[in-house]
Amino acid sequence: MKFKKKISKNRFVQFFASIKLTVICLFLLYILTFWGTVAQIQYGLYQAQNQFFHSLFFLVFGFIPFPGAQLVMWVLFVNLICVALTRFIYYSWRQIGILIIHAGLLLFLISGYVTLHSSHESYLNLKEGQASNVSAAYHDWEIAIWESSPQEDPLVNKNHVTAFDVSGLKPDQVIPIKHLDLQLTVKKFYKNCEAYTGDQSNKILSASGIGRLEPTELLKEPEKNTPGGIFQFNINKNKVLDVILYGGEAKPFSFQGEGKTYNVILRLKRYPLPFTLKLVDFKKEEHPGTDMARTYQSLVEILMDHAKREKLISMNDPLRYTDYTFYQSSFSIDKMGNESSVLAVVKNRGRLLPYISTFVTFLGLVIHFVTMAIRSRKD
Amino acid sequence: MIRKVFSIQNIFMLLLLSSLIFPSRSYAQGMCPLDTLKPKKVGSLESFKRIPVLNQGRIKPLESYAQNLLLLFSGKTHYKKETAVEWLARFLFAPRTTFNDKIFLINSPEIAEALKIEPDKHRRYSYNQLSPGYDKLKELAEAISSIDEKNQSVVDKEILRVYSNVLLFLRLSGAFTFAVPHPDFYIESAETRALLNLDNDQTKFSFYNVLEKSEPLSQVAKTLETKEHLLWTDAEKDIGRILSALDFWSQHYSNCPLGLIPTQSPENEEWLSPMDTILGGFFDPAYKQEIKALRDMAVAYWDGSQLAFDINARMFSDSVSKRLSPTEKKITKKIPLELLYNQFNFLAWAKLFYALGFFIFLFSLTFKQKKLYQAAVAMTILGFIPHALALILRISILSRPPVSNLFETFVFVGLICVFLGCILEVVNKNWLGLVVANTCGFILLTIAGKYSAEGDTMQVLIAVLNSNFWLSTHVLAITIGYAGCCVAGIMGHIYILQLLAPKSDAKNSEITYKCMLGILGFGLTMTFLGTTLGGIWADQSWGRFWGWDPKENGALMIVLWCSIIFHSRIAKIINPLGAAVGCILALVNVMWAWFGVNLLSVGLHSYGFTSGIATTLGAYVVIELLFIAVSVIWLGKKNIKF
Amino acid sequence: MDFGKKWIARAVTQEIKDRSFKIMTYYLKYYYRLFICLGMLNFLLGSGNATELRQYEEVFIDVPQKHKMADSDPHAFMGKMPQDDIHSNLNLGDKDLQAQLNQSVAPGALNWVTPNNWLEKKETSGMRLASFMNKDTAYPIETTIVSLAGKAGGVSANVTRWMQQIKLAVPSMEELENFVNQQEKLKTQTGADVILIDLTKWQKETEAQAPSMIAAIIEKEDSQIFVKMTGSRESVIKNKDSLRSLVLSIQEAGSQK
Repeated sequence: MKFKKKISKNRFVQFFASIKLTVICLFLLYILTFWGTVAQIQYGLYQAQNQFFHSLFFLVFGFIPFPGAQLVMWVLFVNLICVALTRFIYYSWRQIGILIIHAGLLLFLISGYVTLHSSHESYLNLKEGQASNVSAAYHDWEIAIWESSPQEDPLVNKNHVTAFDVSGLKPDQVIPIKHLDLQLTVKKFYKNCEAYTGDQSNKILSASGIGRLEPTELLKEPEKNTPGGIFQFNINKNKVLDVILYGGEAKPFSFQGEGKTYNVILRLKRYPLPFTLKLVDFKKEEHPGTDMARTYQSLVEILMDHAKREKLISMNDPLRYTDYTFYQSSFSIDKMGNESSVLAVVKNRGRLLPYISTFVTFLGLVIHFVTMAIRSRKD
Repeated sequence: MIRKVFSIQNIFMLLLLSSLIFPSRSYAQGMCPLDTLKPKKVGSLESFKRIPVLNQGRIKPLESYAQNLLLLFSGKTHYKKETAVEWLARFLFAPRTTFNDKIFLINSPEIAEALKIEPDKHRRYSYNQLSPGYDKLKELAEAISSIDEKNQSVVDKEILRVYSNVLLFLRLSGAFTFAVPHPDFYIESAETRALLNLDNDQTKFSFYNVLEKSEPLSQVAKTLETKEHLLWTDAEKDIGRILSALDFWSQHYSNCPLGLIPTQSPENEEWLSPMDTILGGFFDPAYKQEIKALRDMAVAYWDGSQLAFDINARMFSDSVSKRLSPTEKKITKKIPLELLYNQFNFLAWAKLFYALGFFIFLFSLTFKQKKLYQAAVAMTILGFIPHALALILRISILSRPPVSNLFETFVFVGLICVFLGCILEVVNKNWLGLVVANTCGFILLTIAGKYSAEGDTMQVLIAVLNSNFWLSTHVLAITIGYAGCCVAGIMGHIYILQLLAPKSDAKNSEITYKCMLGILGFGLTMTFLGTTLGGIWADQSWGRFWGWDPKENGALMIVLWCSIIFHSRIAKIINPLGAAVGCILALVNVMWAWFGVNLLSVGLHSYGFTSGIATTLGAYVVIELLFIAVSVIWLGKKNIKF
Repeated sequence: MDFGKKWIARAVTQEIKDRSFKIMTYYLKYYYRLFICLGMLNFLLGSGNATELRQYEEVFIDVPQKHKMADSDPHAFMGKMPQDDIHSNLNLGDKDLQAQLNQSVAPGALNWVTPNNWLEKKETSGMRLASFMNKDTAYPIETTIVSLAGKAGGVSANVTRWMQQIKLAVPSMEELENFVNQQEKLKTQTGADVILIDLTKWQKETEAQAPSMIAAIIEKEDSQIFVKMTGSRESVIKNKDSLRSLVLSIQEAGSQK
C-alpha cells in the first residue's frame, strides 16, 4: 500500500498521468497521420515515413520543431504507465475491460518499437535453377570485397566477403581492412550520380569503362538512386590504385596484389540468410481469358548443411524459418522467356507481438462495451 | 493456329496461287450490300439470356455480359428502348444494323474534333460516324500508349479508352458472320454449285455452308493443284475464289473475344468464339453440334422464328453444360440466380421504401398518429428485405463475402446501418432507430448506385485477394466499424437537431446521447478490430504489420478520433454537445478513409466519375463544418456548452 | 435571431479564434517539457560511428546462360497495397494495348560510333538504348536513342508530340506536312531511311536559350529508332553535325560494313 501511495503522489508521475496529455498526444498523432498521408504524394512513401513516423521530431518551415510519431508514442507510453500507476491500480474488477484494453495498447507500443529497431526487409531475385544464401536490401548499399579462389564448378561461386555500408561515407575517410592487407581511402562519394564512359584522360580504373561520375540530386523514391564514388586502394602499403565504383555496374572490379586477386563491387547491401535457397520452378496462372494473375507460386529448395527440402511459396503461403519469412512478392520474364521469381525476405524478431496485442485489446474492448451496454440497460 | 479444316497441306499452295489470280481486295467494313437487309428478329430472348459466356475470368449469363458491354461502350445499360440483351442479339446476329447506333461515349469534344467528327450534344457516336476517323484514332492511340501512364493526360486516357472500345466492337461484330450468307460466298454458276454438292436453287451461301462441303472442296483443290492455272475452267476459278475467301476469313475473323464455347482439353480453361472453335477443330462432334446450333439460332433470328431460336439456344446450352468441369458446372448452376438478380432491381426498391419511411417520419412530426409509426416500421422492414436479398444473392453468385469492391461496401454498410437502426428502435421505441435506419439506408444506397453505373460490379478478384480468410474478415470488420461510426454520426446530427428544436425534450436527447456514445463505442471496437486484422493480413502476405499506407492511415485516423472523443469526455474537456460534434466529425473521417484516400493517387483532375467524387466530398465536408459552426454558436446562446 | 451572412461570418471567426487560442495554450504549456525529453532522447540514441566491417560467406549457384542477354528490369516492387477497388485507385488500362506495348520494345542490339565531342552514359533503365552528353559544358545537350517495334505513330504524330514537349505552338496539319516534307532525308551506313527533324526552325534567332530539339527517325523493317537531342537552341544547333554523324553510324549488331 505504501509504495502505491508514494508512487501516485510523485510529481513527475502525476504530470505524466494527465488525461489531457493523452488527448494532446492522440490529437498530435492524428494530425501526423493525416499530414504524413498527404505528404506521401509529394515526397513518396519512404521519405514521408522517415520524416513523420520514424523520426523524433522534424522542422516545419525550416525552423519550427514538430514532434514525430516516435516521440509522441514514447510520451504515450510513459503516460499510459503513469496513469496505470495513479489510477488503474485503484480500479475494481468491474472496470476490467478498460484495464485489458490499455494493457493491449501498451503491448502495441512495445511491438512498434521492437519492429522499428529490429526488423528489416530485403528481397531475393532468382532465375529458375539459381540459388543464393544472401538477400539484397532495397536501397541500402555496400562495398563488398573478396579474393578470387579457384572454383571446381564454374557455376558454383563460394566467396568469403568483407563488406561495409556506404551510407555514412565521407571524403578522405580511411577504412583499414587488416585481414586482407588492404586500406581503402574514400576520395569522392555521391549518393546519386550518373556514369559516363569514354573519358579516359585521367588514370582512374573502372570495370566497365566508366570515365567520369556526375553527381545528381537525390530522388524521392530511394530505390532509384544509384551511388558511385572514387576510391583509392592501398595494397599492403605498396601498390596504390584509384578506382571508380558505380552502383549500376554488373561486374566487380578485379586487381592483383601480393599474389592474390581481389574483387570489389559497389552493390545493394547483402543480408546473410540462414540457408541457401534455390528456385526450382516458378508457376503463374491467370484468370482464363484475361491477363490478370490468379496465383503465382515458387517451388524452392532449402539447402542446409545436413539436409535439403522443398517448399512451395505462394501468394498466401510464405516460407517461415525462425525469424525469417519469405513471401512471393513478384516476378519477371526476360526477353528469352526465362522466368525469375522475386521473393520478399523479412526478418523480424518481434513478429508475434502485434498478434498478441490485437487479441488482448480486442478482448478488452468487447468486455468493456458489453458491460457498459448491460449496465445502461439496468438503469 | 493449325488449320485442321484443310487436312491437305497442298491447300496452302493453292491459296498462294489463288491470291495471284485474284488480287487481294480490301475487305474494309461497310462495303457490303447486306447493309440494307434487316432481320425479322425474335420476340422473346429468354433462352438467349441464359447462355453462359466466359468473360473477364468469370462465367456469366449473356444478359449480364450484354449489360456490361453496353455499359462499357456507352455508359448505359440500355439503348433507346432496347434492353442490353436485345441490343446484343441485334449486334451479334445482324451487326450492320448497329453501325448507326449511337453507342460510343466520348466524353471530350476535343477528341471528336481531332477525328473530324461533328461533336454530338449527348456525346455519343455511332460506328459509322467514327469509321472515317478510325485511322487517325489508331495513330493517336499508338502514339499515346508509348507514353508512361503517369504522364498521360485525361484526353489521352480517353482516346485509349475509345480506341479499345472500337477495336472490341469490330472484333465482336464478326462473331456470327460465319452463320449468315455473305457475298464472298455467293455462287452464281450452277456448275460450281454442282461441283460442291451445294443446294441448286440458292445462290447465297454463308461461310458455314461452304465449310460443310470441305470434302468436295479438297477434292477440287487437289485437281487444281496439279492443273496449270491458265487451263482452269470458270467453275474452278470460282472455287479458287471461294478458297481464298475461306483463307481470308479464317485470319480476319479469328481471335474474337466472345468466349461461348469451352475447349475440350481439361487444362485449358479458356472458352473460344465460334470462329476460333471452327478453326481449332470443326470436326469434333461436340463442337460441330454446337456450331450448328449457334448457326441455326442466327438463321432463326433473321427469319423471325421463335420456336427454332429457342430450341437451338437450349440445345446449345445443354451441349455446353455436358462438357463442363465440375467447378464450371457449379458456377453455371448459379446463372438463374444471376438472372433473378438482374431482373428485379432490388436496391432500387429498397431505396424507395427507405425514402418513404423517412417521409412518414417527417409527416409524423406534425401529425401525431400511432398508425404513422406502424407504417414507418413497415417501410423500414420492406426496405430491409430486398436490401438483404440483394446481398445474399451476390454472395451465392460470387461465392465470396460481399465486400470486394467499393459498390459492395456501400451496400453492405447500408445494410448494417439499417440493422443497427432496427436494434435501436427495438430497445428505445421512440422513432430514433427508424430515422437512423431510413436515412442511412437511403443515402448509402444512393451512393452505391453512382458506383454501379461505373462498370461491372461483379468482377473477379486479382491474385492477392482470392479466398483469403484474413482479408475477408478484415474488410467485413472494418465495414461494420464504418457502419457503426456512420450511425453515430447521424445520431450526432439528430442530437443537435433535438437540442435546437423549439420544444426540446431533455429525456429524448438524453437517450439519443447515450445511444450515440454506445454506438460510437461499437464502431470504435469494430474499426479497431478491422484495422488490426488488416495488419495481420498484411503481415501474413508481405511481412509487415503496419506500413503507414494511406488506407491504413485512414482507418487509424478513425480509431484515433473516436478515442479522442472518449478521452476528452473523461478528461472533462468537452460536454455532450462536444461529443456530438465529435461524432459528426467521425463520420467525416469515415468518408475520408473510405474513398477520400483513393483520390490521392489519381489527383483531382479526371473526367466524370472521380472528379465528381472529389467535389462532392469537398462540398460535403464544407456543409458539415458550417452545420457544426452554426449549431454550436446558436446553442451557445442558449447556454449549452460545447 | 437574425442569421444574416455577416453575423454568421463574424460569429464563426470569433469561435475559431477562441478555439485555437485554447488549443494553443494547452499545447504550449506542455510543449517545453516535451522538448526537454526530446533533447535527452536524441542524445541517448546517439549518432553514427565509425564504419564497421562485416564478413560473411556468400554462395551463389548459377545456371548455364542460354544467351548473353541482359535481364529486363523486374516489375517494379509491387505496390504493397493490393491494386483493387477498395485499397487504391484502379486504373483499368486495355490489356491488349498493354500486351502490344510490352512486345513493342524491339529486340536486336545496335551499334554506333560516339562522336568525338560527346560522352556516352551508362544506362540503367530499360527503354533507352543509350544516352549521350556534350563534353563541352558551355553548350549542354542530352541525346537519347530509343527503339520501338512497329510503327510507333506516324512522323506527324511524333513531331506534334515533340513540339508540345518543348512548348512550341503546334501548327495546322498542312503547315506541319509541309515542314515534314522539307526536312533532311538521309540514309544510314546500312541503307536505312532517316528523316532529320530540326525543330529550331520554329524558333527565332534571338531565342538562344529557349529549350529546343533536333531528332532523327530511322525507319527499319519492323521497328523505328528515335534519336532525340534536347538542349538550348544554340547548343542544339552547335551539335547538329555530331548528331548527324551519330545517326549515320547506327547499325544492327553483326551487320557488315
